Amino acid sequence: MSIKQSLIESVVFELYKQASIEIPPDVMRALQKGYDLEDSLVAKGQFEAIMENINIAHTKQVGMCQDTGVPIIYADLGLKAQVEGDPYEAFTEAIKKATTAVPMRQNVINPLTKKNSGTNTGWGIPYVHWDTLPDKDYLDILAVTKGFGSEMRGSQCWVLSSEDVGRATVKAVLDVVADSMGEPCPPVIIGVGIGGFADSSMSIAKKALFRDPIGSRNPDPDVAALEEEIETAVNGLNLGPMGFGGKTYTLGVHAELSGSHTAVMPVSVIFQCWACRYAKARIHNDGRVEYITHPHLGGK
Amino acid sequence: MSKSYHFTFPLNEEQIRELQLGDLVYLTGNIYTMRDMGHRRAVDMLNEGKELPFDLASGAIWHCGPIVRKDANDKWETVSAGSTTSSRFTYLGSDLIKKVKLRATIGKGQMLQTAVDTMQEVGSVFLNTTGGTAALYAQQIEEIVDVHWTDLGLPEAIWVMRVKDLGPLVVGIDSHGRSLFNDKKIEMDQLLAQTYKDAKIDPTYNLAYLPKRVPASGTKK
Repeated sequence: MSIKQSLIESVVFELYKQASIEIPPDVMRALQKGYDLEDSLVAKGQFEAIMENINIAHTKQVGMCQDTGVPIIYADLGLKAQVEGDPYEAFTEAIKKATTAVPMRQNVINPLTKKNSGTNTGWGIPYVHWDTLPDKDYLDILAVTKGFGSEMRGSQCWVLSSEDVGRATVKAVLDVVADSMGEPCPPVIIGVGIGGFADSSMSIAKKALFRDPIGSRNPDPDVAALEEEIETAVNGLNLGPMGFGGKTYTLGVHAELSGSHTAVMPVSVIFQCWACRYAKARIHNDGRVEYITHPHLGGK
Repeated sequence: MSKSYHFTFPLNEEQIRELQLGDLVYLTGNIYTMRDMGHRRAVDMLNEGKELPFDLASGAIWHCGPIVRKDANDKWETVSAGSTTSSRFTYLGSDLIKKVKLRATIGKGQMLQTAVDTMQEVGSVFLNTTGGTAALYAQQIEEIVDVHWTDLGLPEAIWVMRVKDLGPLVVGIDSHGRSLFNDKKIEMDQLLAQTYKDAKIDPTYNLAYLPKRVPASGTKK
Protein backbone atom coordinates (compact mmCIF):
# COMPACT_ATOMS: atom_id res chain seq x y z
CA MET A 1 0.00 0.00 0.00
CA SER A 2 1.18 3.48 -0.80
CA ILE A 3 0.04 6.98 -1.73
CA LYS A 4 0.52 7.42 -5.46
CA GLN A 5 1.66 10.62 -7.17
CA SER A 6 -1.44 10.56 -9.38
CA LEU A 7 -3.75 10.43 -6.33
CA ILE A 8 -1.94 13.38 -4.70
CA GLU A 9 -2.34 15.33 -7.93
CA SER A 10 -6.09 14.71 -8.19
CA VAL A 11 -6.65 15.57 -4.50
CA VAL A 12 -4.62 18.80 -4.70
CA PHE A 13 -6.50 19.79 -7.86
CA GLU A 14 -9.77 19.29 -5.98
CA LEU A 15 -8.45 21.29 -2.99
CA TYR A 16 -7.54 24.29 -5.17
CA LYS A 17 -10.93 24.18 -6.82
CA GLN A 18 -12.67 24.08 -3.42
CA ALA A 19 -10.42 26.80 -1.98
CA SER A 20 -10.86 29.24 -4.89
CA ILE A 21 -14.63 28.94 -5.10
CA GLU A 22 -16.05 27.93 -1.71
CA ILE A 23 -15.41 29.67 1.61
CA PRO A 24 -14.79 27.24 4.51
CA PRO A 25 -18.00 26.86 6.60
CA ASP A 26 -16.43 28.20 9.82
CA VAL A 27 -15.34 31.41 8.03
CA MET A 28 -18.89 31.84 6.72
CA ARG A 29 -20.22 31.47 10.28
CA ALA A 30 -17.74 34.09 11.50
CA LEU A 31 -18.87 36.50 8.74
CA GLN A 32 -22.53 35.96 9.65
CA LYS A 33 -21.69 36.69 13.30
CA GLY A 34 -19.88 39.88 12.22
CA TYR A 35 -22.91 40.97 10.18
CA ASP A 36 -25.25 40.40 13.15
CA LEU A 37 -23.07 42.55 15.43
CA GLU A 38 -23.05 45.62 13.17
CA ASP A 39 -25.73 48.26 13.43
CA SER A 40 -24.58 50.84 10.86
CA LEU A 41 -25.89 50.68 7.30
CA VAL A 42 -22.41 51.07 5.82
CA ALA A 43 -20.92 48.16 7.79
CA LYS A 44 -23.94 45.93 7.23
CA GLY A 45 -23.77 46.81 3.51
CA GLN A 46 -20.14 45.61 3.31
CA PHE A 47 -21.03 42.30 4.95
CA GLU A 48 -24.05 41.92 2.66
CA ALA A 49 -21.89 42.43 -0.44
CA ILE A 50 -19.38 39.87 0.86
CA MET A 51 -22.01 37.25 1.64
CA GLU A 52 -23.88 37.82 -1.62
CA ASN A 53 -20.55 37.45 -3.42
CA ILE A 54 -19.86 34.14 -1.67
CA ASN A 55 -23.26 32.87 -2.80
CA ILE A 56 -22.72 33.97 -6.41
CA ALA A 57 -19.27 32.32 -6.50
CA HIS A 58 -20.88 29.10 -5.20
CA THR A 59 -23.82 29.18 -7.63
CA LYS A 60 -21.79 30.09 -10.69
CA GLN A 61 -18.76 28.03 -9.58
CA VAL A 62 -16.28 30.86 -10.15
CA GLY A 63 -13.41 32.29 -8.09
CA MET A 64 -14.81 34.35 -5.19
CA CYS A 65 -12.10 37.02 -5.65
CA GLN A 66 -10.29 37.97 -8.85
CA ASP A 67 -6.97 37.75 -7.01
CA THR A 68 -6.92 33.96 -6.81
CA GLY A 69 -3.62 34.30 -5.01
CA VAL A 70 -0.28 32.54 -5.02
CA PRO A 71 -0.18 28.85 -4.01
CA ILE A 72 1.34 27.64 -0.74
CA ILE A 73 1.11 24.03 0.41
CA TYR A 74 1.53 22.68 3.93
CA ALA A 75 2.25 18.94 3.69
CA ASP A 76 2.48 16.81 6.83
CA LEU A 77 3.72 13.32 6.05
CA GLY A 78 3.02 10.43 8.44
CA LEU A 79 6.21 8.45 8.89
CA LYS A 80 4.30 5.19 8.44
CA ALA A 81 2.90 6.31 5.10
CA GLN A 82 4.67 5.58 1.87
CA VAL A 83 4.64 7.97 -1.07
CA GLU A 84 5.23 6.66 -4.57
CA GLY A 85 6.59 9.17 -7.07
CA ASP A 86 7.33 12.89 -6.72
CA PRO A 87 4.81 14.85 -4.62
CA TYR A 88 6.22 18.24 -5.75
CA GLU A 89 5.49 17.32 -9.33
CA ALA A 90 1.98 16.29 -8.27
CA PHE A 91 1.41 19.67 -6.56
CA THR A 92 2.74 21.56 -9.60
CA GLU A 93 0.64 19.65 -12.13
CA ALA A 94 -2.49 20.01 -9.97
CA ILE A 95 -2.04 23.80 -9.79
CA LYS A 96 -1.44 24.06 -13.55
CA LYS A 97 -4.67 22.16 -14.18
CA ALA A 98 -6.64 24.18 -11.61
CA THR A 99 -5.38 27.42 -13.18
CA THR A 100 -7.11 26.48 -16.43
CA ALA A 101 -10.10 24.61 -15.04
CA VAL A 102 -11.30 26.88 -12.18
CA PRO A 103 -10.04 29.24 -13.76
CA MET A 104 -7.50 30.96 -11.48
CA ARG A 105 -5.86 34.20 -12.55
CA GLN A 106 -2.32 33.85 -13.88
CA ASN A 107 -0.57 35.54 -10.98
CA VAL A 108 2.95 34.16 -10.71
CA ILE A 109 5.80 36.07 -12.33
CA ASN A 110 9.59 36.12 -12.18
CA PRO A 111 10.21 39.19 -9.99
CA LEU A 112 13.12 40.50 -12.09
CA THR A 113 12.18 39.71 -15.69
CA LYS A 114 8.42 40.05 -14.90
CA LYS A 115 7.82 37.03 -17.13
CA ASN A 116 4.47 35.40 -16.29
CA SER A 117 4.58 31.58 -16.37
CA GLY A 118 0.85 31.54 -17.10
CA THR A 119 0.45 28.51 -14.82
CA ASN A 120 0.75 29.89 -11.27
CA THR A 121 3.87 27.76 -10.86
CA GLY A 122 7.58 28.25 -11.37
CA TRP A 123 10.57 29.84 -9.61
CA GLY A 124 9.81 27.94 -6.37
CA ILE A 125 6.00 28.23 -6.54
CA PRO A 126 4.15 26.35 -5.13
CA TYR A 127 5.98 27.13 -1.92
CA VAL A 128 5.81 23.95 0.15
CA HIS A 129 6.25 23.50 3.89
CA TRP A 130 7.01 19.87 4.74
CA ASP A 131 6.55 18.41 8.21
CA THR A 132 6.45 14.89 9.61
CA LEU A 133 3.88 13.08 11.76
CA PRO A 134 5.40 10.24 13.81
CA ASP A 135 3.38 6.99 13.91
CA LYS A 136 0.80 8.15 11.33
CA ASP A 137 0.08 6.43 8.02
CA TYR A 138 -1.42 9.33 6.11
CA LEU A 139 -0.47 12.55 4.29
CA ASP A 140 -2.21 15.75 5.38
CA ILE A 141 -2.34 18.50 2.78
CA LEU A 142 -3.41 22.06 3.46
CA ALA A 143 -3.67 23.89 0.15
CA VAL A 144 -3.68 27.68 0.40
CA THR A 145 -3.84 30.36 -2.22
CA LYS A 146 -2.98 33.71 -0.75
CA GLY A 147 -4.10 37.08 -2.12
CA PHE A 148 -1.44 39.77 -1.94
CA GLY A 149 -3.54 42.72 -0.76
CA SER A 150 -3.37 41.09 2.66
CA GLU A 151 0.10 39.57 2.15
CA MET A 152 1.84 42.88 1.39
CA ARG A 153 0.84 44.26 4.78
CA GLY A 154 2.88 41.56 6.55
CA SER A 155 5.41 43.08 8.93
CA GLN A 156 8.15 42.10 11.35
CA CYS A 157 9.95 43.88 14.17
CA TRP A 158 12.68 42.85 16.61
CA VAL A 159 12.34 43.28 20.36
CA LEU A 160 15.06 43.17 23.01
CA SER A 161 14.57 40.78 25.93
CA SER A 162 14.99 43.77 28.28
CA GLU A 163 11.56 44.90 27.04
CA ASP A 164 8.07 43.58 27.77
CA VAL A 165 7.58 41.38 24.69
CA GLY A 166 3.82 40.99 25.35
CA ARG A 167 3.33 44.78 25.22
CA ALA A 168 5.58 44.98 22.15
CA THR A 169 3.38 42.36 20.46
CA VAL A 170 0.17 44.27 21.18
CA LYS A 171 1.77 47.48 19.87
CA ALA A 172 3.16 45.78 16.77
CA VAL A 173 -0.31 44.54 15.76
CA LEU A 174 -2.04 47.85 16.55
CA ASP A 175 0.58 49.77 14.55
CA VAL A 176 0.24 47.53 11.49
CA VAL A 177 -3.57 47.70 11.66
CA ALA A 178 -3.49 51.51 12.00
CA ASP A 179 -1.25 51.75 8.93
CA SER A 180 -3.27 49.25 6.88
CA MET A 181 -6.87 50.25 7.67
CA GLY A 182 -9.12 49.02 4.82
CA GLU A 183 -6.35 47.80 2.52
CA PRO A 184 -6.03 44.12 3.47
CA CYS A 185 -9.80 43.67 2.84
CA PRO A 186 -11.15 43.40 6.38
CA PRO A 187 -12.75 41.63 8.13
CA VAL A 188 -9.37 39.93 8.34
CA ILE A 189 -7.78 37.12 10.28
CA ILE A 190 -4.58 38.28 11.97
CA GLY A 191 -1.65 35.88 12.41
CA VAL A 192 1.02 36.70 14.98
CA GLY A 193 4.40 35.00 15.47
CA ILE A 194 6.17 35.64 18.76
CA GLY A 195 9.83 34.56 18.82
CA GLY A 196 11.63 32.11 16.55
CA PHE A 197 13.94 33.15 13.72
CA ALA A 198 13.32 35.84 11.10
CA ASP A 199 11.79 33.25 8.74
CA SER A 200 10.14 30.82 11.17
CA SER A 201 8.52 33.68 13.11
CA MET A 202 6.62 34.78 9.99
CA SER A 203 5.97 31.15 9.05
CA ILE A 204 4.21 30.31 12.31
CA ALA A 205 2.26 33.57 12.06
CA LYS A 206 1.12 32.67 8.56
CA LYS A 207 0.20 29.09 9.32
CA ALA A 208 -1.82 30.35 12.30
CA LEU A 209 -4.12 32.16 9.82
CA PHE A 210 -5.55 28.78 8.86
CA ARG A 211 -6.23 27.62 12.41
CA ASP A 212 -9.43 25.62 12.50
CA PRO A 213 -11.91 26.75 13.70
CA ILE A 214 -11.37 30.45 13.18
CA GLY A 215 -11.20 32.42 16.44
CA SER A 216 -10.15 29.42 18.56
CA ARG A 217 -7.46 30.04 21.16
CA ASN A 218 -3.84 28.97 21.50
CA PRO A 219 -3.58 26.27 24.25
CA ASP A 220 -0.83 28.32 25.97
CA PRO A 221 -2.79 30.58 28.40
CA ASP A 222 -0.24 33.44 28.09
CA VAL A 223 -0.59 33.46 24.31
CA ALA A 224 -4.38 33.04 24.49
CA ALA A 225 -4.62 36.10 26.79
CA LEU A 226 -2.68 38.17 24.23
CA GLU A 227 -4.94 36.92 21.39
CA GLU A 228 -7.99 37.97 23.39
CA GLU A 229 -6.53 41.38 24.27
CA ILE A 230 -5.41 42.15 20.71
CA GLU A 231 -8.75 41.07 19.21
CA THR A 232 -10.69 43.41 21.52
CA ALA A 233 -8.23 46.30 21.00
CA VAL A 234 -8.23 46.00 17.19
CA ASN A 235 -12.01 45.75 16.89
CA GLY A 236 -12.30 48.73 19.27
CA LEU A 237 -10.73 51.05 16.67
CA ASN A 238 -14.09 51.31 14.85
CA LEU A 239 -12.54 50.43 11.50
CA GLY A 240 -14.98 47.64 10.68
CA PRO A 241 -15.35 45.82 7.36
CA MET A 242 -13.30 47.49 4.56
CA GLY A 243 -12.21 50.14 7.07
CA PHE A 244 -15.38 52.19 6.51
CA GLY A 245 -16.29 51.95 10.21
CA GLY A 246 -17.88 49.21 12.28
CA LYS A 247 -17.31 46.65 14.98
CA THR A 248 -15.60 43.77 13.19
CA TYR A 249 -12.20 44.47 11.69
CA THR A 250 -10.84 41.07 12.67
CA LEU A 251 -12.66 37.74 12.70
CA GLY A 252 -9.92 36.25 14.87
CA VAL A 253 -6.38 36.84 16.14
CA HIS A 254 -4.29 33.66 16.07
CA ALA A 255 -0.86 33.85 17.75
CA GLU A 256 1.88 31.24 17.94
CA LEU A 257 5.00 31.19 20.07
CA SER A 258 8.44 29.79 19.34
CA GLY A 259 11.64 29.60 21.39
CA SER A 260 14.07 32.35 20.51
CA HIS A 261 17.34 34.00 21.50
CA THR A 262 17.98 35.29 25.04
CA ALA A 263 18.92 38.75 23.69
CA VAL A 264 16.43 39.65 21.00
CA MET A 265 13.45 38.11 19.20
CA PRO A 266 11.20 38.79 16.22
CA VAL A 267 7.49 39.57 16.37
CA SER A 268 5.70 39.00 13.07
CA VAL A 269 2.24 40.10 11.94
CA ILE A 270 0.37 38.93 8.85
CA PHE A 271 -3.18 39.31 7.53
CA GLN A 272 -5.61 37.03 5.74
CA CYS A 273 -8.41 38.87 3.92
CA TRP A 274 -12.02 37.74 4.46
CA ALA A 275 -11.74 35.71 1.23
CA CYS A 276 -9.90 33.02 3.09
CA ARG A 277 -8.92 30.50 0.41
CA TYR A 278 -7.74 27.22 1.90
CA ALA A 279 -8.79 23.59 1.85
CA LYS A 280 -7.48 20.56 3.65
CA ALA A 281 -7.53 16.83 2.96
CA ARG A 282 -6.07 13.67 4.45
CA ILE A 283 -4.85 10.94 2.10
CA HIS A 284 -4.57 7.56 3.81
CA ASN A 285 -1.94 5.01 2.85
CA ASP A 286 -4.71 2.72 1.50
CA GLY A 287 -5.86 5.44 -0.90
CA ARG A 288 -8.86 6.69 1.09
CA VAL A 289 -9.32 10.49 0.97
CA GLU A 290 -11.02 12.63 3.61
CA TYR A 291 -11.88 16.25 2.77
CA ILE A 292 -11.57 18.09 6.07
CA THR A 293 -12.42 21.80 5.57
CA HIS A 294 -15.09 21.26 2.92
CA PRO A 295 -16.59 17.87 3.89
CA HIS A 296 -19.94 18.90 2.32
CA LEU A 297 -18.28 18.89 -1.11
CA GLY A 298 -17.07 15.34 -0.59
CA GLY A 299 -14.36 15.60 -3.23
CA LYS A 300 -16.70 15.03 -6.13
CA MET B 1 -26.93 62.59 4.17
CA SER B 2 -25.32 60.80 1.26
CA LYS B 3 -26.96 60.95 -2.18
CA SER B 4 -27.14 58.38 -4.92
CA TYR B 5 -26.14 59.07 -8.55
CA HIS B 6 -26.46 57.08 -11.79
CA PHE B 7 -23.93 58.32 -14.34
CA THR B 8 -23.26 57.35 -17.95
CA PHE B 9 -19.82 58.03 -19.50
CA PRO B 10 -18.35 60.38 -20.55
CA LEU B 11 -18.41 62.38 -17.29
CA ASN B 12 -17.93 66.13 -17.16
CA GLU B 13 -16.32 68.26 -14.48
CA GLU B 14 -19.65 69.66 -13.31
CA GLN B 15 -21.01 66.17 -12.51
CA ILE B 16 -17.84 65.27 -10.63
CA ARG B 17 -17.78 68.50 -8.58
CA GLU B 18 -21.34 67.74 -7.43
CA LEU B 19 -20.25 64.52 -5.74
CA GLN B 20 -19.55 64.66 -2.01
CA LEU B 21 -17.66 62.26 0.23
CA GLY B 22 -19.76 59.18 1.03
CA ASP B 23 -22.19 59.59 -1.89
CA LEU B 24 -23.11 56.44 -3.81
CA VAL B 25 -22.43 56.20 -7.54
CA TYR B 26 -23.50 53.71 -10.24
CA LEU B 27 -21.61 53.84 -13.54
CA THR B 28 -22.62 52.83 -17.06
CA GLY B 29 -20.32 52.75 -20.08
CA ASN B 30 -16.74 51.71 -20.78
CA ILE B 31 -14.15 51.31 -18.03
CA TYR B 32 -10.44 50.48 -18.39
CA THR B 33 -8.70 48.09 -16.00
CA MET B 34 -5.20 49.22 -15.12
CA ARG B 35 -2.63 47.86 -12.70
CA ASP B 36 1.04 48.50 -11.91
CA MET B 37 2.66 47.70 -15.25
CA GLY B 38 -0.16 49.34 -17.22
CA HIS B 39 0.24 52.57 -15.23
CA ARG B 40 3.98 52.54 -15.83
CA ARG B 41 3.61 52.06 -19.59
CA ALA B 42 0.82 54.64 -19.95
CA VAL B 43 2.74 57.31 -18.02
CA ASP B 44 5.98 56.55 -19.92
CA MET B 45 4.18 56.82 -23.28
CA LEU B 46 2.56 60.14 -22.39
CA ASN B 47 5.91 61.47 -21.13
CA GLU B 48 7.43 60.57 -24.51
CA GLY B 49 4.67 62.53 -26.22
CA LYS B 50 2.96 59.42 -27.59
CA GLU B 51 -0.78 58.89 -27.69
CA LEU B 52 -2.44 56.05 -25.75
CA PRO B 53 -4.28 53.48 -27.88
CA PHE B 54 -7.43 54.00 -25.79
CA ASP B 55 -9.34 57.04 -24.58
CA LEU B 56 -9.21 56.96 -20.76
CA ALA B 57 -10.89 60.34 -20.41
CA SER B 58 -14.07 58.95 -21.98
CA GLY B 59 -14.49 56.51 -19.10
CA ALA B 60 -12.81 55.55 -15.83
CA ILE B 61 -9.80 53.57 -14.66
CA TRP B 62 -10.48 50.50 -12.55
CA HIS B 63 -7.67 49.15 -10.34
CA CYS B 64 -8.48 45.59 -11.30
CA GLY B 65 -6.90 42.53 -12.87
CA PRO B 66 -9.85 40.33 -13.80
CA ILE B 67 -10.07 36.58 -14.31
CA VAL B 68 -11.04 36.15 -17.94
CA ARG B 69 -11.57 33.21 -20.29
CA LYS B 70 -12.53 32.68 -23.90
CA ASP B 71 -16.09 31.52 -24.52
CA ALA B 72 -17.24 29.01 -27.17
CA ASN B 73 -17.01 31.73 -29.86
CA ASP B 74 -13.40 32.57 -28.92
CA LYS B 75 -14.55 35.83 -27.34
CA TRP B 76 -13.17 37.01 -23.98
CA GLU B 77 -15.59 36.89 -21.06
CA THR B 78 -15.21 38.01 -17.45
CA VAL B 79 -15.26 35.31 -14.77
CA SER B 80 -14.45 37.44 -11.70
CA ALA B 81 -13.46 41.08 -11.50
CA GLY B 82 -12.82 43.14 -8.39
CA SER B 83 -10.51 45.85 -7.11
CA THR B 84 -6.85 45.60 -6.18
CA THR B 85 -5.22 47.77 -3.48
CA SER B 86 -5.31 51.37 -4.72
CA SER B 87 -2.63 53.05 -2.60
CA ARG B 88 -0.08 51.53 -5.01
CA PHE B 89 -1.30 53.87 -7.74
CA THR B 90 -1.15 57.12 -5.77
CA TYR B 91 1.75 58.63 -7.75
CA LEU B 92 1.47 57.15 -11.25
CA GLY B 93 -2.32 57.46 -11.01
CA SER B 94 -2.06 61.15 -10.08
CA ASP B 95 0.18 61.71 -13.11
CA LEU B 96 -2.40 60.09 -15.36
CA ILE B 97 -5.31 62.07 -13.89
CA LYS B 98 -3.43 65.30 -14.69
CA LYS B 99 -2.28 64.26 -18.14
CA VAL B 100 -5.56 62.92 -19.52
CA LYS B 101 -8.05 64.81 -17.30
CA LEU B 102 -9.37 61.54 -15.98
CA ARG B 103 -12.63 62.05 -14.09
CA ALA B 104 -12.99 58.83 -12.09
CA THR B 105 -10.82 56.09 -10.60
CA ILE B 106 -12.34 52.93 -9.11
CA GLY B 107 -10.51 50.82 -6.54
CA LYS B 108 -10.29 49.65 -2.96
CA GLY B 109 -8.65 50.92 0.19
CA GLN B 110 -7.33 54.40 -0.38
CA MET B 111 -5.21 56.70 -2.50
CA LEU B 112 -2.82 58.93 -0.57
CA GLN B 113 -2.64 62.73 -0.18
CA THR B 114 -0.99 63.43 -3.57
CA ALA B 115 -4.04 61.90 -5.25
CA VAL B 116 -6.41 63.88 -3.01
CA ASP B 117 -4.68 67.13 -4.06
CA THR B 118 -4.62 66.14 -7.74
CA MET B 119 -8.30 65.23 -7.76
CA GLN B 120 -9.20 68.56 -6.20
CA GLU B 121 -7.14 70.42 -8.81
CA VAL B 122 -8.39 68.50 -11.86
CA GLY B 123 -11.96 67.72 -10.82
CA SER B 124 -11.78 63.97 -10.35
CA VAL B 125 -12.96 61.38 -7.80
CA PHE B 126 -11.92 58.05 -6.27
CA LEU B 127 -14.73 55.53 -5.97
CA ASN B 128 -14.51 52.68 -3.44
CA THR B 129 -15.72 49.18 -4.12
CA THR B 130 -16.09 46.41 -1.54
CA GLY B 131 -12.79 44.49 -1.69
CA GLY B 132 -12.80 40.87 -2.77
CA THR B 133 -16.37 40.74 -4.09
CA ALA B 134 -15.31 39.92 -7.64
CA ALA B 135 -18.07 37.42 -8.47
CA LEU B 136 -20.61 40.11 -7.60
CA TYR B 137 -19.08 42.82 -9.82
CA ALA B 138 -18.64 40.36 -12.70
CA GLN B 139 -22.43 40.30 -12.95
CA GLN B 140 -22.43 44.04 -13.68
CA ILE B 141 -20.06 43.70 -16.63
CA GLU B 142 -21.97 43.28 -19.88
CA GLU B 143 -19.10 42.66 -22.24
CA ILE B 144 -15.37 42.83 -22.76
CA VAL B 145 -15.17 45.34 -25.61
CA ASP B 146 -11.44 45.30 -26.23
CA VAL B 147 -8.08 44.41 -24.71
CA HIS B 148 -4.68 46.14 -24.98
CA TRP B 149 -1.15 45.28 -23.87
CA THR B 150 -1.62 41.54 -23.29
CA ASP B 151 2.19 41.28 -23.49
CA LEU B 152 2.17 42.53 -19.87
CA GLY B 153 0.38 39.32 -18.81
CA LEU B 154 -3.39 38.86 -18.60
CA PRO B 155 -3.84 40.45 -15.13
CA GLU B 156 -1.82 43.53 -16.15
CA ALA B 157 -3.44 44.03 -19.56
CA ILE B 158 -5.90 46.88 -20.19
CA TRP B 159 -9.36 45.30 -20.38
CA VAL B 160 -12.01 47.59 -21.80
CA MET B 161 -15.28 46.55 -20.19
CA ARG B 162 -18.79 47.80 -20.82
CA VAL B 163 -20.51 47.98 -17.45
CA LYS B 164 -24.09 48.65 -16.53
CA ASP B 165 -24.81 50.30 -13.18
CA LEU B 166 -21.49 49.21 -11.71
CA GLY B 167 -21.93 49.84 -7.99
CA PRO B 168 -22.77 50.86 -5.43
CA LEU B 169 -19.45 52.74 -5.44
CA VAL B 170 -18.74 54.96 -2.44
CA VAL B 171 -17.09 58.35 -3.09
CA GLY B 172 -13.85 57.81 -1.11
CA ILE B 173 -12.08 60.96 -2.36
CA ASP B 174 -14.16 63.86 -3.65
CA SER B 175 -12.98 66.79 -5.75
CA HIS B 176 -13.06 69.14 -2.76
CA GLY B 177 -9.91 67.85 -1.03
CA ARG B 178 -11.65 65.38 1.23
CA SER B 179 -10.82 61.70 1.77
CA LEU B 180 -12.91 59.14 3.62
CA PHE B 181 -9.81 57.32 4.83
CA ASN B 182 -8.14 60.50 6.01
CA ASP B 183 -11.24 61.40 8.02
CA LYS B 184 -11.37 57.83 9.34
CA LYS B 185 -7.70 58.03 10.31
CA ILE B 186 -8.24 61.21 12.34
CA GLU B 187 -11.07 59.47 14.23
CA MET B 188 -9.00 56.28 14.62
CA ASP B 189 -5.95 58.12 16.00
CA GLN B 190 -8.03 59.38 18.93
CA LEU B 191 -9.31 55.87 19.68
CA LEU B 192 -5.77 54.52 19.26
CA ALA B 193 -4.41 56.92 21.91
CA GLN B 194 -6.95 55.57 24.41
CA THR B 195 -6.31 51.96 23.34
CA TYR B 196 -2.57 52.35 24.00
CA LYS B 197 -3.34 53.85 27.39
CA ASP B 198 -5.67 50.96 28.31
CA ALA B 199 -3.01 48.46 27.16
CA LYS B 200 -0.36 50.23 29.28
CA ILE B 201 1.73 51.08 26.22
CA ASP B 202 3.53 54.41 25.90
CA PRO B 203 3.18 55.17 22.15
CA THR B 204 6.16 57.56 22.24
CA TYR B 205 8.45 54.80 23.51
CA ASN B 206 9.61 52.55 20.67
CA LEU B 207 9.40 48.99 21.99
CA ALA B 208 10.93 47.65 18.79
CA TYR B 209 14.71 47.59 18.46
CA LEU B 210 14.38 47.14 14.68
CA PRO B 211 13.22 48.42 12.24
CA LYS B 212 14.42 51.80 13.41
CA ARG B 213 16.44 54.25 11.32
CA VAL B 214 19.31 55.62 13.36
CA PRO B 215 21.03 58.51 11.54
CA ALA B 216 24.80 58.96 11.95
CA SER B 217 25.66 61.25 14.84
CA GLY B 218 27.94 64.26 14.55
CA THR B 219 30.53 64.78 11.85
CA LYS B 220 33.44 62.57 10.78
CA LYS B 221 36.47 63.25 12.95
